[in-house]
Amino acid sequence: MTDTAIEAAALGKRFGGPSRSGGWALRDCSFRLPAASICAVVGPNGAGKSTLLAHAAGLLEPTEGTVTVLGAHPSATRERIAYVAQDKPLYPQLTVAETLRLGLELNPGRWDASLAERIVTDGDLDPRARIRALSGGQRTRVALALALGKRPELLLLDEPMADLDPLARHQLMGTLLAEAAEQGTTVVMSSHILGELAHACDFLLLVGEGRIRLGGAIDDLVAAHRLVTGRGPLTDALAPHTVIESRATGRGLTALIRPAGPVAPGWETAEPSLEDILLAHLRSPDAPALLTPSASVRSGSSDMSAAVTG
Amino acid sequence: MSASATLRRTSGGRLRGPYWTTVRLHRPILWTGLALVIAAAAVAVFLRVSAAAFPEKQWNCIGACPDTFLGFASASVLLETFADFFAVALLFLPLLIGAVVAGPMIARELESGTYRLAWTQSASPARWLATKLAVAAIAATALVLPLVGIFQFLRAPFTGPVNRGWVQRGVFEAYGPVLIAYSLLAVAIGALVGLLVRRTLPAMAIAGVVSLSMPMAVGTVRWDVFPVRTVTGEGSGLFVGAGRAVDIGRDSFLMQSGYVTASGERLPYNACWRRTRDMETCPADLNITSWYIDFHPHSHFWWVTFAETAIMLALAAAAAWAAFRLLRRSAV
Amino acid sequence: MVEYRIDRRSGVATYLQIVQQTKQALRLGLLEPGDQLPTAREVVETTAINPNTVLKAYRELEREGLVEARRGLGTFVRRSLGAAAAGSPLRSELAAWASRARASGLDRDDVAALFASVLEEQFAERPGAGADESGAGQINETEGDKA
Repeated sequence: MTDTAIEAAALGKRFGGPSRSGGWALRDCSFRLPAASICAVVGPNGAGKSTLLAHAAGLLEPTEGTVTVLGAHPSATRERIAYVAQDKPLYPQLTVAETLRLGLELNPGRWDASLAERIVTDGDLDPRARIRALSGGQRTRVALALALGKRPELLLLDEPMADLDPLARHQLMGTLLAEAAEQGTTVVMSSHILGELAHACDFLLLVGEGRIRLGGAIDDLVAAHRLVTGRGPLTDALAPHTVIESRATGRGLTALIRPAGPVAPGWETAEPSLEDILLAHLRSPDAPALLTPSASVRSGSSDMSAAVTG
Repeated sequence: MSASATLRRTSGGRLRGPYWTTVRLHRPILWTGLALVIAAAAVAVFLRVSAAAFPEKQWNCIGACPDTFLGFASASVLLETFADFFAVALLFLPLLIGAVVAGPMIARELESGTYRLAWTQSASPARWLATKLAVAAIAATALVLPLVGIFQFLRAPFTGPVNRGWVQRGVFEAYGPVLIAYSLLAVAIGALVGLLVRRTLPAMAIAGVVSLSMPMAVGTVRWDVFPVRTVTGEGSGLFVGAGRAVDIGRDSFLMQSGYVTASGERLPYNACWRRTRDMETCPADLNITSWYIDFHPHSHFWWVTFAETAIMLALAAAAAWAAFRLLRRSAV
Repeated sequence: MVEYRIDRRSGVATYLQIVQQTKQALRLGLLEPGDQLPTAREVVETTAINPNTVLKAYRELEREGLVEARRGLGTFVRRSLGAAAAGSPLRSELAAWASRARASGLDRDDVAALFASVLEEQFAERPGAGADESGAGQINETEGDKA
């Protein structure tokens, strides 16, 4: 067993072949996701979130670098992962019941029929209804039932809640988190908005322009930043710290910083919310990336992953 | 609890794992194939019974025969016409099979994105493709075999002691092995094209055309490529077609005949006739020393069947191998 | 059984909301010694928050001696917070003061700000006490920022 769910080392993916320049969907992505985390992958549309998840699901081969899932190459861990793509692919000609039967047939020995059935019946879905007749939210529910019924060790969900109404979103997220907590499942959820994920997740990867901009346990990331307000000029007082973003507020200045020591007296400091941190980073694309120690690749294990891939 | 009971209710009997999935996903196509066989069998039985129940009262009528059967001269004529049509129709089975495998079975999964569902279950993508190929191959065989049987049943009244049909396009393939080999090749071509093109309709069109072109192209050159048997004789007089023909066997297939000159050059069968308007009289300046006949005896049927089947199965294996290679590159 | 309601916009840390709502239930007598708190799974299922957040809140309550975890059984209330229970003299005094404040023209925010500043003065010398005595929803925000 391994305490690492996903580890990416200098992962890069270019679509459309080497002739097309600038087609990198991911570039130089390195991070480590500890097992049993509930991880939010956030970032603007087109940042590379889906590409990242598809690599972990074993559906894409990296152009460069490696990705290791549950200690092995993604193709060797199909049984232990579940993946729900953004468009929730399902076979339209099957009924709901037949879709769950498919989960049983394709995952013999792992399939938890009662859990999958519970998720479906919680949504008042007719088991005899054809998938093509379902609404987007109902399809999402069936796709999640299929993913959870597999009892995966790693659950990869690409924009899982986008199609759901608020009530179903809350209820499904609750079920998902309760099951994950009970089974020790690592969950990775991508979203272009933080929203509900902020309370559901304890780990965060902020992806921007194909790179990891922030990575780490949410508590650690929040602790690494300070919101400071004061009246002095920016340069002198905040010089020792990394300033992510600063804005004039009236006569003073509000800035999000990564303190490198005590903040000069006269500045009022406060703990930023996760949303403050994300927004500041999104508004400042040039801010340096930050990976907390728990999110950093360990050199030893990345060597091993290279050997596995090779 | 009734919902839960419905969820647990199983259908599909003994099929398990990816086989259940593949058969369930393509159930309408499989039913269509079965319906095709049943319809063909029903028509065949109807025509055979009709031909037996309404024997020919007259033939060789001048003008329209007064008593017709469904617009044909007789039930027997309709049976024979239908048998001819059926032989040609059988040649289009590879088109159908290639198109179905390439489009609905493979490319549609890639086009609609359901492959991301299939490939992230416990069964690997290679298993996914292998199952599809196996189901398609079994289904294709189960479709072609009864249709071949139905064709033999249709033409049974017309195969007398002399079998001259065995070289005909359609009839030759419809003896069984060759058509099955082309159908299996169509399965492999369909898989390869489906994975290459990744879009349902273009994949169906391309795979259908390629699958059909194989038997069509080979059927055109089949008897030219396989080595002929040749008989020769002195002089120019004894010649085939004049009633005093050398006996090459009544069910042999004559390819070419003619004269051989002193220099060894072959002249066409009508070389003398063109000059003298007489097959038997040859001008001396042609220096004809002997005659020849190139032909395929009926025994070649089995050799050609064997060779063609083997080549097509080898091509099918190569195409399937290429499909797996391609899959390995597109999946991880 | 208490049911937690997580206010995602309040800015108060989620685990603190659980701590505060548990204490509120203790003060109001909705929870009494021996009562069982909902399991982490139940809380997660109804609130859709991270399981670790629930565990963190329960650990905090345990650290303060209010609840105890019994292995395999669940988390149980050890003692109540009776001081501000409904009907206690302190509460009626506060209610009387609040109605006087309202009669003198203070609005809800003014009262909350006044109360918060007095709270700050009175309890400033006790570090870590912020989460302890905060009860009413309006002052959670200041308490949360301090924590």
